[in-house]
Amino acid sequence: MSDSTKTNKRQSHSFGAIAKRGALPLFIFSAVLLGTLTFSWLSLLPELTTVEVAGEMRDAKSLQSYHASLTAQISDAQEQRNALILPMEGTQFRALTELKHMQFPLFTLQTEIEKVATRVRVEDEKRAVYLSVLQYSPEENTVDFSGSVRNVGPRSMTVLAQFVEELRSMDFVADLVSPSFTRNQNEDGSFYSPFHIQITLP
Amino acid sequence: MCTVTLLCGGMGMLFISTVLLTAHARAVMEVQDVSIPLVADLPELERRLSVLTNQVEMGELHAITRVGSQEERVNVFVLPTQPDFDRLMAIFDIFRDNLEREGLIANVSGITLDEPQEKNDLVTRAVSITFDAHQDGVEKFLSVMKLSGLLTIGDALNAQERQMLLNRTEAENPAGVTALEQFLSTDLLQYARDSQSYEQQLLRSFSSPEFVSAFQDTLRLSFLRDARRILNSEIGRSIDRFDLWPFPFMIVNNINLETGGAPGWYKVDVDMDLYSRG
Repeated sequence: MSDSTKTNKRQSHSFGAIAKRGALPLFIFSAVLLGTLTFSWLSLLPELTTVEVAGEMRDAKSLQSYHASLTAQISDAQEQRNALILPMEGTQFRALTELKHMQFPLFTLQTEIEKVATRVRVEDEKRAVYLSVLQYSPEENTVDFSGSVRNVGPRSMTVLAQFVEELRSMDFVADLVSPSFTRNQNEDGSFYSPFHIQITLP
Repeated sequence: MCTVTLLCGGMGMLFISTVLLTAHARAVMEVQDVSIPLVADLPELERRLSVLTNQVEMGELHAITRVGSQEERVNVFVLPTQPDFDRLMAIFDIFRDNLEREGLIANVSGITLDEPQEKNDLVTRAVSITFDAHQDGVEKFLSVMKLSGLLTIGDALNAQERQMLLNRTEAENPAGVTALEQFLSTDLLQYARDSQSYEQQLLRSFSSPEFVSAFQDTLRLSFLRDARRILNSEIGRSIDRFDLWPFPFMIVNNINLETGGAPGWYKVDVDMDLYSRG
């Protein structure tokens, strides 16, 4: 037997031949797929994606508009109800009463500032920050107060800076105008730092 | 020629199928992201609308039977066309006499009234007064000033407090809205004289512990408590005796407290605006 080599010869086909053989199956597959999807789009999907709400079958878009219309009706009904129950709603009188309710209670403000003033001191020494005048302007939403830092010797300016920083960290302080830092001396030789601070309320 | 037609037709249908498949996927995603959450919300919205519609109907029925409107009283006493200065001075006199008797105020200055000024379609006149007062006296003064212009229980509550009570009626007993309306439109002075009976009357329509607790919190934390305290005191009785209720509308613009000679005492300087419609 002669050495004969078996070679698998791959037959080469032209694109034209492949297209010729595959065209019909591709056409049938595409037609069936399209038919199925069209049937699903027209019959199955509407059945599965719509719900009956208020006696009507609704899809997502229709549900969205129904939801928006319900929300608008609720808002109207609420306004109408409030106007009947609270007859002066939306008038200048009501705006003025609300302005009153928005004002901060004066002594709550004063107590909060006093608390900070009492807390700021040098170690165990006695109180250092004293308030003398407090002015609350609800119209401007500001509180101005003045006083002095004393009983801490030459450290009065440091204590004042500490007082200002403590105040800045308080919730009721939206903005603070820093005082000018000066140290004066009394006739008896003791030191004090007068201050005037303005805070803006939130 | 036939092969080309089949191929083109097949490819074309495959393309349309891809578009349809994408549309299917989008529709399913829409159901998941939009429809399901909306459908979950709808019963609550429909219930709320029905409750509100009923409340509006009840409110309309009740409005027909209501005698005298708050607006009339506001126009006559609170924001009159011309301020009644005698009435204003009488209120300050009563306030001063009572606090002087209690030892809470001293050295009350005269009251100065400035020229009228236009402010937001209304007219304001600046009113200034200075006095020495104990902290309790200053607090009473500020409460009286806050009380000026308020007529009803509803006025003594702020917008959030009123809304909270309305929301609770929706949740608990929508029909109780007329009871709430009656409560909120009750005159503050009448309420202060017999607060318990007005409160009990409202609570007869709402019995749940949640409502009772929310209502008690409102009574405790709102300005109603101060209003009741002032109107139930000698000041309130004097105001009633001299027929000075309700007060004209005043609002504090500026208050200056200077530490006084005695502990707890202040030198007080107050600027207010007196409002009127002319």
